[in-house]
Amino acid sequence: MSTPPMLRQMRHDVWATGKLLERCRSLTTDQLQLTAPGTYGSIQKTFAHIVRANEGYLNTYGVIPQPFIELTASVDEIASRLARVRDAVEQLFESKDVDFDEKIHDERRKVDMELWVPLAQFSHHGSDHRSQIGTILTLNGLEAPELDVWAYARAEGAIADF
Amino acid sequence: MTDFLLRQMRHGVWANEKLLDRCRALTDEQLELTVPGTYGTIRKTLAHIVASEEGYLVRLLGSLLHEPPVREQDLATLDGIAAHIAHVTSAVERLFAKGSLDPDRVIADTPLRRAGAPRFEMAAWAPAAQFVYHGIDHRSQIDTILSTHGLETLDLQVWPYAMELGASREAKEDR
Repeated sequence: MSTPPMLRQMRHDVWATGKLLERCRSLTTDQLQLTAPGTYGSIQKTFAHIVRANEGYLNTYGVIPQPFIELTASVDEIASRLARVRDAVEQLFESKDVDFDEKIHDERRKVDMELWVPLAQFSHHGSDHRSQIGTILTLNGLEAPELDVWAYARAEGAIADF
Repeated sequence: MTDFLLRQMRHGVWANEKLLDRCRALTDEQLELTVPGTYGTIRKTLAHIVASEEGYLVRLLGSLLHEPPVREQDLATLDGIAAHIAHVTSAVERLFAKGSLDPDRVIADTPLRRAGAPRFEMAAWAPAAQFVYHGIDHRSQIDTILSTHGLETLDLQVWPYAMELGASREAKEDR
């Protein structure tokens, strides 16, 4: 049976955040506080923001409870919460009864919406902010890892060259 | 049920169009702005997004969108970029015209491969997901360039897109 494309997207997203976090473990405390104009904030804060948002999106489906991670969280705590996000993504797709076209009332956000929206936002939000971290790293002469789907698909064995 | 990939690709096209409209209000000098750590100038990055999207779609559809195929360096003007966004829009709809994409279908090659260049075999989900990811990554860089230079940025997230579609709306107070 095919893996749903939605799940592929989310796995890529979590993989990319994990790879970037792994890269940033070799940064000094001062380097984790680097930022660049036009970005969300420091590298550390942006990571916490990505994972906090992931928790929020997944909370919509009841697979992650509150409270969400604090924006001041350490890299170790961010990594631990990212592992919980990874598990929750798998859990969401194991329960095959989610109708992503269903309209729900989201009391936390005070909106009525279709259930596909937070998942699409999950993928968009992570890519947007990882791009900012990539810019901060490059701007400061630090190496940024390749996080695109080509790299992920190669790691998954879904691309072969001849 | 609308295919999730189709929703995401439509969001990408929507975001490109919004960004293009924003760029039309910039001067030629502003379109050449950049910041270190990004792909290049605003104009060059927008051209790169659209040319790449055509490339992903050619691979997925197995045929050229038009002859000759677009090259990034040919997209020197916003009007030229806009014309190719229209090609992307049309190709995205064509890709899903017969239903959902089979994500595990193996694509053996692309019509865009040059003689002597390596051939890649890949599952269809890879170029489809790359289409979505690539646009977000580079639009984020343009946002950073605009913001760094004190120019107005746009909210291109899925939230405002869903609002425009009517898939999300503010809840009534008396609920």
